[in-house]
Amino acid sequence: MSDLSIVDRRGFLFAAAAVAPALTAGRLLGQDIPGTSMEGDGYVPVSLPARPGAEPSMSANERDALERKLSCPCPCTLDIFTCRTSMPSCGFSPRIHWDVVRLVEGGYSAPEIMAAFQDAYGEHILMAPPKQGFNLVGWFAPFTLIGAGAIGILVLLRNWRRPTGAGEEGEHDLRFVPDATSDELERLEAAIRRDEQ
Amino acid sequence: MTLALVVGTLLALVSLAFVLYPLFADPGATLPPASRAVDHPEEDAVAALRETEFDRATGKLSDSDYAALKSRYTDLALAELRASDAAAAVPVAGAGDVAAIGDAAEAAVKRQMARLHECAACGPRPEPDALYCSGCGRYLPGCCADCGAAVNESGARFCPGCGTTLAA
Amino acid sequence: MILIGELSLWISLLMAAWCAAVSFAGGHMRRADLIVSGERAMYATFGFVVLASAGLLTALVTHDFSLAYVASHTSANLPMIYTITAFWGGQAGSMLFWALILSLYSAICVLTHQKDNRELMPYVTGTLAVILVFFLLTTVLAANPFERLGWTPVDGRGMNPQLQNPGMAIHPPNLYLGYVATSIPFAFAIGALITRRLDAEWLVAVRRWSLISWFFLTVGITLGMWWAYVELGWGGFWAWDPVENASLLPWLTGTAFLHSIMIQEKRGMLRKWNVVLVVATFLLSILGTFITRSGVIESVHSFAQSPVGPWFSSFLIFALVVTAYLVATRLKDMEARAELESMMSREAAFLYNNLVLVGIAFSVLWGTLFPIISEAVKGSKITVGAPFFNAVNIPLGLLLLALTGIGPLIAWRRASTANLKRQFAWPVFLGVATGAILFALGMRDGYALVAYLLAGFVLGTILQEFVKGTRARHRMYGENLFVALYNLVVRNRRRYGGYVVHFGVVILFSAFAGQAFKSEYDVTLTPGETFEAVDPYGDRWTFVNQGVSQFESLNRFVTGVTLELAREGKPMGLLTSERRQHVDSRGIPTFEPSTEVGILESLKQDVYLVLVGVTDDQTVEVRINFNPLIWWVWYGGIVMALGGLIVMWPQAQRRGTQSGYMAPLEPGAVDGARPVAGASL
Repeated sequence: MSDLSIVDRRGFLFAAAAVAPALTAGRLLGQDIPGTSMEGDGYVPVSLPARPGAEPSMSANERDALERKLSCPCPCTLDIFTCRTSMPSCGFSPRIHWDVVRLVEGGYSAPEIMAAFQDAYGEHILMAPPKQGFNLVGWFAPFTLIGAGAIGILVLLRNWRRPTGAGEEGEHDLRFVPDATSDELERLEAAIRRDEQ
Repeated sequence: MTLALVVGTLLALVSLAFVLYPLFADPGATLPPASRAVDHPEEDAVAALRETEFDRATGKLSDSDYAALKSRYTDLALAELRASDAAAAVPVAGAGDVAAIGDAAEAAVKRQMARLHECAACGPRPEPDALYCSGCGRYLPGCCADCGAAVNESGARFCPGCGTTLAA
Repeated sequence: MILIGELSLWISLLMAAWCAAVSFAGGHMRRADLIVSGERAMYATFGFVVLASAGLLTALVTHDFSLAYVASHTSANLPMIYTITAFWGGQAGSMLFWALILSLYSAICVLTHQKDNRELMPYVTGTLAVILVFFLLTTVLAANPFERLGWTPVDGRGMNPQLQNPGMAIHPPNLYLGYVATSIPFAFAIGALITRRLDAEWLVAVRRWSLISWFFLTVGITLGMWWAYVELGWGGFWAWDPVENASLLPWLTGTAFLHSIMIQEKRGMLRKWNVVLVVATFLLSILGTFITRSGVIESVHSFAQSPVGPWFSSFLIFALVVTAYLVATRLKDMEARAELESMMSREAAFLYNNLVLVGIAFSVLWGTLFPIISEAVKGSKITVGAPFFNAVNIPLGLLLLALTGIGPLIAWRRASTANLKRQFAWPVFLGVATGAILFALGMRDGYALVAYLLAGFVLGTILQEFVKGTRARHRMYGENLFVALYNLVVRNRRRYGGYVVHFGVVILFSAFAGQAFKSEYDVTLTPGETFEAVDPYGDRWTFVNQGVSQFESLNRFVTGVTLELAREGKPMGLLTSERRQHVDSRGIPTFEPSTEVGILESLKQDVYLVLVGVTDDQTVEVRINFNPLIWWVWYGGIVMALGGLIVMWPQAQRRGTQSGYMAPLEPGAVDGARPVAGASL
């Protein structure tokens, strides 16, 4: 992490020469260049003045964990950490990474950094919507629906139960003798076994 | 270029003939009337019995549950068995004629079904040719074997439809 | 040939339209001639789509760059196998490929249902033809692979290097085979709804096609996960990307259907629900395609913004409205005599299984669409990423796993407390023991512990089912244990094949739970520098940087780094990761640089190396992952697919042999009578 150019030189030149510099190499099923979201510059610098006498507010591991909570604006659907370490040609994640590094060195805490990014990009920079306001609908709709479904099934089952209770049937004893000739019973027995052998 | 067009046109014409041929070969042909929808929500009684036996052998059914299911499905299976026996007993005309076999068998089954009686109190009876319900002893309404007219009078000796002497 | 192909595409569209028109008319007017003509038109459609495909393949293989599709997806130096797979590599080609599979399935369907479902078949054929018309029309008007450029480029753009992978060559066709196969159950459902013949007959056909669809989706999804893992370099296999979700949705509802259909077969219940599941599975597979192709939802899988979006959304809405109308007007016909002996029965367990499967499907769909909903409601974009899906789906997945173990232990119809105790004793013991041992070994991750506990429980269930079944046969029929085991599976492929699928699920969940312990290191190394890390099993690994190499290969520039690995001082060999810049035949760079990961595989865990970047002074930044049990994900998928094959394997004449208990109608008529008896059953 000593140098800004984490892309090797040749790769960088090629990337710059390519049609859509920010296009992730990765996971295109089709090869047509997706939309316009990659072009122009969706990147927003996030920087705050370093606090006087600031020391890095967290370890590298903690910083990586923080980056996993930020979503990369490129169409990779990955978080910043995963994107920058697997798609170096991404036009966002390396730059956002350095913004995070500078904020950490500037002495800002994780919630402050998250807030700064949210101010700059809006909620969509977060990997998952914060659990507040309308987003609660998003978080709890699946559980609500399944809960309702479970109750619905219980009610349904109750309605389906045969009115003739199980008690009556339980009274059959094991020596049940059907009203049939022994020849018929033999054939029935044979029929039951036929498929099995 | 031209060759491709010619080949393409030929292919189109050939397939058009193939597709349209039925319309000219047999114009206005209609389907046979729809058969009654078959529905057997419950499995065959025998299959159910087989599964009951297996479930019991693998320890999934308690003895009393087993007995209950067993008696229920044995009754059903015996009824099926007797019904099919009875169906088999009916002579089929033209059995040697291979083409007629399917129809003949179907006719036999149909005739057999017609002979199964239904008790007003106990529902359909499994015993073909029964005069009295084996459940409650009521007289079972029947029908004439020749003309199919319904015979509802207990002890009737002649068919009200065609006058044929009724068996027993 | 290319021109013939282009013409064939148009003719196939006309044939499909004719087929749709005469099939519906024939069914409605009960005109046999129209129906036969419709069937023939279906065969003809298939023939012409084959010709069109042959035309496109010819264009690809002969490098006819005057076709826009060929020029933008292949290049002269592309290996032949990938030149052929380019057929389904792009938007227009994959539309044609889709039509090819659909017409093939449709032709097979028409051919194999000459004897049964006669009332339904005209409508089935007609519905399939309507779907075909939609795909062919979209292909012809909005994404025509035969579109010409007007000039001929020297060379094409080539293929995205990450698609140049054997997994990628077979992953999309498998998914397509699965997606498209959902059309046939849907067509049967429409046919059954129109004719109001919602009895048991159509279900037999539907079950077979649903299994085919399920099988290919399973294989396709597994291949996709494997490809993402070995090729994409981010160290995982599932990112909850909208397109991945889209492939999971029909799989989930299809799985739910394969379970609930058993209740209808055995008890005649759940008719409405089964129709809903069949329809939902089809609509979700179309929705998946729509998501992939329309650009409505941002995804890396997306094709370009293209004119097919509106076509798909119109079709989706059309299909939704038609089926909703049909279902609404036929609710009465689907009334079933619903009876339940007991709340503690297999039937009830199946209902809950369905609830959870559909619940997962809903949560995945919800998470995928929520950004759109949110934007519509709040006006601000949000991201619904892996944390959401994991938080919601892990508990649901565990619930599903638990039901996988509970369901088979409960008898159909009724189960008493006493025998529930007997049935659950061993599996519960095995599960709790697994959990306790892992806890004693120091595992503290809650979800993972629950997952392994449940995995042990389900494994216990499956083993117990096989052991008890084998013993029962041994006792009942006096077969020796091996014969008994063999017959057990062969005589009841559905049940025991299903258990094999469940075993695959156990493997899969064990592998998923293992991912809770993955660790990741982002490391900068100078040449010769050593990095030390401890893997999830507590072993100490050392990584020594052997230096960077840069060289030119046939069609790419390569930058590679090699690390020497040792575990607890024991040499484990070398691991190399590369960054590749692909070039076309003139040496001009094509596409973005791609990463080639280095993986040291084992059943315990993978060591996964990714080259992130190289600086001038030969210092490298690499990412090292320990991914525990990850190969078990693919093994689980393979076992599930094998189980699916066991279930699908045709059972020889089950009905025929069984009907033997009916006395033959008459000596001479036996052979002729059998089919009648069989058909009436």
